[in-house]
Amino acid sequence: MNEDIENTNSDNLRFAPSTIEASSPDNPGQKIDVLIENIGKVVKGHREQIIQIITCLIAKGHILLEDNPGSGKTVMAKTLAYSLSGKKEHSDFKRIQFTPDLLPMDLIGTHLYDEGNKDFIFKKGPLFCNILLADEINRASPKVQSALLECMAENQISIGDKTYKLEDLFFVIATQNPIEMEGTYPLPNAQLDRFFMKITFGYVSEDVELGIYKQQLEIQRSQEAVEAVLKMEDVLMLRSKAEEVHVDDEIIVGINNIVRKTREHSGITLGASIRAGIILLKCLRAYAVIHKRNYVIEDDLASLVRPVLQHRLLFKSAGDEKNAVNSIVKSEIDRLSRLNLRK
Amino acid sequence: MKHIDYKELTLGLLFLILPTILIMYPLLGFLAEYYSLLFVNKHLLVGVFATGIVTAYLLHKTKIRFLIIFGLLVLVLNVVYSSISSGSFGEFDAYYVANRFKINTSIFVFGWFSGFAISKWRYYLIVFSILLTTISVILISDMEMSNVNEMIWLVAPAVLYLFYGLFVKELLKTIRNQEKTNYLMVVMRIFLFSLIALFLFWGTIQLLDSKLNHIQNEITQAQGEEDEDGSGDDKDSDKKDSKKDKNGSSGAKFNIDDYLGLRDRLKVSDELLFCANIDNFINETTPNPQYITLYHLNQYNPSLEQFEIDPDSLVRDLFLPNPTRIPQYFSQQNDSVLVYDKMERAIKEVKSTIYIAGLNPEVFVAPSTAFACQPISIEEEFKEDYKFAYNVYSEVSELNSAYFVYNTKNQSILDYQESRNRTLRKAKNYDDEDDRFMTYYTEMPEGDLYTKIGQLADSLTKGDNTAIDKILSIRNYFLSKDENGKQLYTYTLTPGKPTDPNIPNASMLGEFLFNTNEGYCTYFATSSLFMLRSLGIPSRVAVGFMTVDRSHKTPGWYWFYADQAHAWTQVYIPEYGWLDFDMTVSNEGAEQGPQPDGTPPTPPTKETFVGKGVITVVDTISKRMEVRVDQMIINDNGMSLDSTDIFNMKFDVNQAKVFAGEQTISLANVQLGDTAVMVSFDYKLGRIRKKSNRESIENYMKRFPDPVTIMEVHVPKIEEEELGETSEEKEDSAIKTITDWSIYIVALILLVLFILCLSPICYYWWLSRKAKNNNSIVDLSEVNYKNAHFVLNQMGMPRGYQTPMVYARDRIDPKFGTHFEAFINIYQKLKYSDDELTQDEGDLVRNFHSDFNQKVLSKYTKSERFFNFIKPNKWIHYMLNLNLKK
Repeated sequence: MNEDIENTNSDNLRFAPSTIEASSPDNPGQKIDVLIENIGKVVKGHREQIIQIITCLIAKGHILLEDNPGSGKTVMAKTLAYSLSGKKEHSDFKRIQFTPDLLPMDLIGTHLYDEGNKDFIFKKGPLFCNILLADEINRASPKVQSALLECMAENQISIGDKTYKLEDLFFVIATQNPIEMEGTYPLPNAQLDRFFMKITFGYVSEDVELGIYKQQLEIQRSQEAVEAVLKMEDVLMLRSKAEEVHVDDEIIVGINNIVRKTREHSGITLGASIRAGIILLKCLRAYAVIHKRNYVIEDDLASLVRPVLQHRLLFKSAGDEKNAVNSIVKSEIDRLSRLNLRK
Repeated sequence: MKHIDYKELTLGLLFLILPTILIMYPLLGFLAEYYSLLFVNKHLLVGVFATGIVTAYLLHKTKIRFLIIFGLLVLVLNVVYSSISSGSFGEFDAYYVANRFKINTSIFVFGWFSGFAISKWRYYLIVFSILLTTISVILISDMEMSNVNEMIWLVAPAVLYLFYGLFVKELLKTIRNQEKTNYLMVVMRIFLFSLIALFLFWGTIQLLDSKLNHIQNEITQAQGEEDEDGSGDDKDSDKKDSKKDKNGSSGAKFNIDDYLGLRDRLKVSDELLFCANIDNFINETTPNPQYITLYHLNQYNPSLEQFEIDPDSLVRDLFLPNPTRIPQYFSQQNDSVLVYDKMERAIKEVKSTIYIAGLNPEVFVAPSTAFACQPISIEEEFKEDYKFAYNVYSEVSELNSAYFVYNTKNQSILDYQESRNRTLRKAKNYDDEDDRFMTYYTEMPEGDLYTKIGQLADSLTKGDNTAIDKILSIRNYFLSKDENGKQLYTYTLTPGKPTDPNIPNASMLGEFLFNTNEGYCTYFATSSLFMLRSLGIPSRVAVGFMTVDRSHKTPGWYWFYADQAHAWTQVYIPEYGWLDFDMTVSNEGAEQGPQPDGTPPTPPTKETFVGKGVITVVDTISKRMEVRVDQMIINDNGMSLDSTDIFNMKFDVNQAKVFAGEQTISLANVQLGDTAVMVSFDYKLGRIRKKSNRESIENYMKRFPDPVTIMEVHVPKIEEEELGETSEEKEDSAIKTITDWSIYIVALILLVLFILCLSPICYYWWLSRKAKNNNSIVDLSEVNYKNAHFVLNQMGMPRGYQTPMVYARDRIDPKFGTHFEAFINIYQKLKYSDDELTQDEGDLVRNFHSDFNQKVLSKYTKSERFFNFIKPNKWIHYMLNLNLKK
């Protein structure tokens, strides 16, 4: 039963009838398809996660990938970054490997004394980029973590009396190892809240994995030659398009119901915040854009509630952690699917 | 908030309040009628109720300060009531006026409250109709109503009203929420609903009609039985007959009614009805049997040729107690019969003991003229054979004897008969008799036949001067032989119908006397009766039992079988009273051998002490009882104690048997407060005699041992026992009702199943029709959406918890090759976006219904399709989980 909802995320686009939306080469929707294709060449069998990452990108959020080492998190982030900007323009993509001895200034930059001008000049850190891959974020000390998260929230850096604005398109893909692993500083719940989604990769299916081994060379080659298929401006344009997406009242009621139910659910000790609801709404809009729609449907809700809300909640038991959100979504989807057309 | 919807108000008044008043009409009518409410007319009552309900409803609806007015009203009414009841004008008037006022006020307040509650509470009508039904049920049980139809008319309106009221109330409620209302439509709806409800009700009644009749019959029957049980003291013999019909063993076989009239055949059985010991002997050695009389027939219906009992008979010399109602060992006596029997000479008192076997013990049988009855107990070993026994004391003429027709060789009887005839010849003639008496007992119906009978009698008794000679002549005529030495008259149980074809309604009596000369006892009795009456001899027919002396071993004991039921003539002889003269010739055909007679039951040990009174103490451990004795019999000396003398007696019941009716019960079952009869056979008690007549009872009683040892305790039949019988019947009927009900329930379940199976098909048709006739793309989409869900659900592929899109994409389209996903996309677009549909999308929606159904259903065979469609569980699942919500 649980899988029913989770599976909804799989390949939504494949069967979308092309006749319905008029297609034009300039349509950013088409470009997203290309983008997904492009990433898909390198990251096999994680289509769902690709879409979720792009959703966060378009919703102006940040994403946290959590999984065991070697499941393709970094490759995914890199490929996305390269697909957006082109490998040759490195300035737009930065990667930081978080370690316990990392200091906040390693991230945000530092003031250096300029001998010539007899003045301190600000040496920008790696945060000043478009796409930041924060690798193994939970291995850094909380100080560093909070510095990063602050920037993510404010989209600007204040050092001393100066405030430095980050790039318009500033997208953090953080990865972390499961908390149980040694040498980690688990992210506090409040900080997890900053991430729009926390997704896991999981192992791919047998066929896909077999394919990966077989085509290892090809994949490696295409990984090295990732083309930039989407310009930064396109992303900004998609973001503005997402803001135009129509969200029906009933969907908003649905969001409200879901968020409220997480607070009332007997298996959940800490429910979703209002911010969570707002983030869910933003993600829904982005998700609709990815699916070339200018309205949100109940399926979007079914696909997004779990990745958006799951990491914000505290559960009483492992069983609740598995089922609580699903049951809430189920009942809400049932309500929506049985709504009458006539309003 | 002060906005008032007058149309709604009117509707409420018309369709809620008016029916409520109408519903109260019959009920109040019944109440007024049944409890005869002090001159209160039912129209007035209804008027009062109507005023109350309408005012309250209007006030509440128009939001005028309701509670305050109500409080004031109650206050005013209360003041008025108290002022009236304490008013100084005529006490009687005041009482009635006050009471009338009270009744009217309570009805008014009830109406008021109902009006208020109907207006205020949504579900008050449920309470109201429950109340109505309860009142109706109470009324029914109170009135002991036995007419099923009446019951239905009393209860059904309340039930119907409940549905109607709820419907209207809900309708009015929805009206309030609507912005615009089509009132005509509302009225139409209410009318339609009422029509349908009435029709359904009527249909049910019609369907149940036969059933109702059946119930009605049962009720009537049950009541009849009840009546009879209750009329123990009723001396109306008609009822006794019917009782005999009903009563168990004797009923089917023996019916004394058969002897009342002249019929073409008589059925007899040989069941033992009772046996009797008649202490009447000629010269103290030869038994002189007496006929056992049940009752006398004084009225004759010439057209039916049947005798009837005249309840207003001139001579009331028949003693008819109900022996079962007399406490054991105590006697019931009627001395007036001794006056009526007009016996003055040659009288003796004969004691008989009757042991009842097959006969109903409530029927009193005794030799005439009985005047006292004393039930006695039966010895243990005979309890199986006889259910009841009593002593009868009769005043019998020494001249009366069963021997009249039968030729007997017993010399003492012949002598006795001869002397009897001699005595009777010397008897007075009828000149001194009362005219009314003579007219009553010599009355003859008019007609040729009776004139002819008179002529015959005249010719037979030519030369006879005394009554007895005339009687003997008539007897001799019946016994005479024709030229061939053959009996002129023969006894037959099957005289047959009149044979003369020329006379269509020929008289059986005429046929018997002047043609066939064949008949049974009633024929002989009737013929001789009219012959005697035509001669001016007062006579009557008695019905009872012929006493046949069969056994010489046990003189004085006689056994009575059902075939001994008999009718004979009784003739009044001045000073000697009524004497039996049986003219019936002997039944030669049936004389193959008398029924074997049983051993006579030994008379019970002589009781020495009998005390009757109310039980005050029952000690089951030490086996003691205390009784407040008010009547006693000591050594056959009955004594009744005055209320001042009543005292508690202690009894030792260690060896006693406790009888409740005919059954033995344990001491623990004896109920305090019951009347008990304590019997002792202790011979020692017999020795305690009153020293003198003047000795006070108190002193006398002091000489009795304390406690008195008791052998038998008789208490009234425990109610439970009767209940037991009835509960047995009830059980029977309960089983019947259970089976009936189970049939109903099964039928109901089948009906529900049928509806459940049929409704999906109807639903499918309905959807298809809607899909065909709908032009609106939105409606059409919805129908398609519903239809797809419904069809897939019935085909065993319910959506479950998947979103419609995923369901369509992953499960349906791959399987059936439909465009379901595309449709769902359009549907979602309609649902969640403001965009218009494109032409292509519209086309897809329009074609979707038939295309989809065809594609899906073609995957199944016809039978699969059918069985999938009618599965009720799927249908219920659909209705509960997949149906669209408004």
